[in-house]
Amino acid sequence: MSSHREAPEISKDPVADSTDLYAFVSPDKPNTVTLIANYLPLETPSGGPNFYEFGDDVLYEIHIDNNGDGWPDVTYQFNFWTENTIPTTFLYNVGPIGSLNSPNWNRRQFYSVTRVTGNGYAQMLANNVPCPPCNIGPLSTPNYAALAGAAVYEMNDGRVVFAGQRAEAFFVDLGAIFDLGDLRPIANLHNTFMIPNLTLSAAPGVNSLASSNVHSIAIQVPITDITAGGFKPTNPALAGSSVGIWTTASRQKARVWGQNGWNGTGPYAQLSRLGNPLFNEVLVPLSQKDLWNASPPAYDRNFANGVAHPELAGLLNVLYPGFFTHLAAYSKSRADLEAILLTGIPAGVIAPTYSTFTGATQADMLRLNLAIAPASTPSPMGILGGDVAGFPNGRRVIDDVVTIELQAIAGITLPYVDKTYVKDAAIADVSDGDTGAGLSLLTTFPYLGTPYSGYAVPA
Amino acid sequence: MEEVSRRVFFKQAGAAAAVAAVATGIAAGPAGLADGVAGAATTKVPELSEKEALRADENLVAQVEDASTGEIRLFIGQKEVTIHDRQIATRLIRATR
Repeated sequence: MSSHREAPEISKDPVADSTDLYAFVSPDKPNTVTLIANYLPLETPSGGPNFYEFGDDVLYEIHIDNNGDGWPDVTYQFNFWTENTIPTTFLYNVGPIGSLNSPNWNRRQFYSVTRVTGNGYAQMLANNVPCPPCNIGPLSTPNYAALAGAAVYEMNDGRVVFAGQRAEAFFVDLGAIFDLGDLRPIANLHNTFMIPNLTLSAAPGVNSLASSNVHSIAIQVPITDITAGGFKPTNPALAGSSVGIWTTASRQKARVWGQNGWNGTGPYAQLSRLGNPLFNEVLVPLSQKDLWNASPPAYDRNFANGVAHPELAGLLNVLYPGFFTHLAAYSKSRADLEAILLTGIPAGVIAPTYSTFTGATQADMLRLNLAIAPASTPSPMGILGGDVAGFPNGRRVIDDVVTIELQAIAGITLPYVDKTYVKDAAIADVSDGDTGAGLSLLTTFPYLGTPYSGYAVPA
Repeated sequence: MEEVSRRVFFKQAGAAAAVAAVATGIAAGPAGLADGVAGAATTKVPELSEKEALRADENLVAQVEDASTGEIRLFIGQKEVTIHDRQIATRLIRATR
């Protein structure tokens, strides 16, 4: 998955497990940037009576590096707390929840937002902001969209925030990918490990995350809130127009079980990290995934070999014999992937005014060029679809990052940096076959759609 | 498993007070004279000042990282402090036996 349950330790700690990170110039407010960090993978909408919520003992952060060193220069911190308002009931709610202060709602969560700069200056932007409830069903949460809309909170200086349940927007065919890479659209070409009497047929992809929910932290701020010196980039090729973004979740280092839960003590230690989708999932060996989650982007040179020589690229011609011979014969470092994922793409590689380059420091960050305007007709295939405002220039909620990254690993971006390389003919068919059709999305903040109702799913 | 057995976590008011006393530089008795933390807690030591005392909502957690060097990591609030004191490390371990 993008980063759902991607490492052994964090897979056991869902409230701290970052699943997806989105960053894009807001299409309806192009002077602002929207940052969305998702947590709590694979929420079953009907998962009560203790419906999903953020961790009160988890520090959630979204970081921005605006000088290319892999360290944060601006961080937005989110701290949550929970209260029970009806101590005598076992229920999440005792009647319809018609508003965020409904007396029928027992289990409520609130949060604060703090902006911290690289020099340690901290400014609380908001406090006691309510989360909406989970989407339970037509009796408990009638008119859920309005209820969640009331939880969009406007802060000072043009900043807006939302934290709560949303519909999962990531789409991927997990069942196929983790079954030894038998991508359904080209399953008929798979070697099937010579298992007797087994034949796979080509088929459309299946979205394994369909009808599931996540918990999102979304913040929209003026572009000048995250750039160095607060300037407004206008030239995409100019250094400083691109920033690097990642999210982390941390817990206090010592935890002791008390009568009513865990007591945390000591400094916060990072246990989850996410910049580019699928980085830890696909490019870091299983034995190092927990270490990667605990590391800052500034140290990602330690993991750069997995980008320069990705294991998956070597497997493709084994799983699909004869279809990726050019890729199999390529032994040089993958400079295309190193640029896309670790340094950003310098101006001139793809187009004179296209750049996501933040500097020579190798760091996994989702890079966003703030001088590139939102697309009027966006392509889910991002740069591969000719859309410079899409992944890997940031990531929008529509972007098909699985297919983009699969095709990149299969060599589709290699000719940009090595003119002698000839792509394998089969590369256009490399996909899990999911297109994101039918996703629940919004055209305005927080862009991720109304979460699926526990009453309605599964139908 | 060796990693786990090498480390001792504990959290209780008496022990916390004893560790806090060491952390603030108040001498404890020589190793071997006290049988453990409970004994150490009865040693005459100046009372903690109001500023030094643990708040009602405050916990102190001590982790004996390496008894042979006396390395103890103390967690309180959002701070981590490392001290090196073989005497207190020995007492803490003995108190658990």
